[in-house]
Amino acid sequence: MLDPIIFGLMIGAFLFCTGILIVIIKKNAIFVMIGIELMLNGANVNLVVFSGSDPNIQGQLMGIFVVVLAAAESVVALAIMLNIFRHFQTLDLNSLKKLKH
Amino acid sequence: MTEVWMYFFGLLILISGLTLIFTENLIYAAFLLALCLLSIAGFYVIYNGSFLAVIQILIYAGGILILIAFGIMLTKRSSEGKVIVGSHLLFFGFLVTLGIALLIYALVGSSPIGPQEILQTTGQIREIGIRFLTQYILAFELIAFLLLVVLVGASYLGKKSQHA
Repeated sequence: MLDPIIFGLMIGAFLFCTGILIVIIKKNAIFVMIGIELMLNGANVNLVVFSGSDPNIQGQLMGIFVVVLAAAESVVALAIMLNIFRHFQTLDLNSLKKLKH
Repeated sequence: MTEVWMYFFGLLILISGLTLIFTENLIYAAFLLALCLLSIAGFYVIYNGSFLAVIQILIYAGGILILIAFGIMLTKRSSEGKVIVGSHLLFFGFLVTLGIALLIYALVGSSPIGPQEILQTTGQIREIGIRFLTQYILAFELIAFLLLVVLVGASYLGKKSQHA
């Protein structure tokens, strides 16, 4: 039986590593964004696990800010991706090399 | 009983995360992300974060996931049936991930975290509301301002430009 704090930290570390791996190896921009969401969730799991034994729930308050920032980030990222797709007709990261209009 | 649920949600997160690495279909990836986010919400409830769990289900599983599904549908060429995403830099990626995993393992192992009891408090929403309007009022207002900026910026970026 693992200590619940250590188990939560392990889950958070797993989510963060999964996110980094997806960001590095996947070729599609939307898949990379899924990886970024996983990394943010890994950080959030850490915050919540530490706030589980804190009567002031400071970590949970920080986690709410993280969720709002993640939502804002993904909205802007998807708007930019739509523009890129309209211009280049692809979201393959290896073929997006030109900065020229 | 709490431990059983803890391991159940942990296992769900593990399975969906690993499948997310190895899947190549983008639609499957979006739904696996939904499973992962919902099981993370369950995980929060065990660690006394029930308010954040509700927020997670509302904003992530309800908002961001719909947005990602929209993004997949709108950036799909009609000629291709499935959206298949290939991989590159496999060796480098696994190397970096292994390095970071070992680093986190060493950090957690060397930190003075003792076994602690997980609290189950009530009246969280009251506590959170009071703190947001007293201690964290500046951050709260800044977040509101940021959301306004994001709203305007995303609608400007999303519209079809005239000279493109």
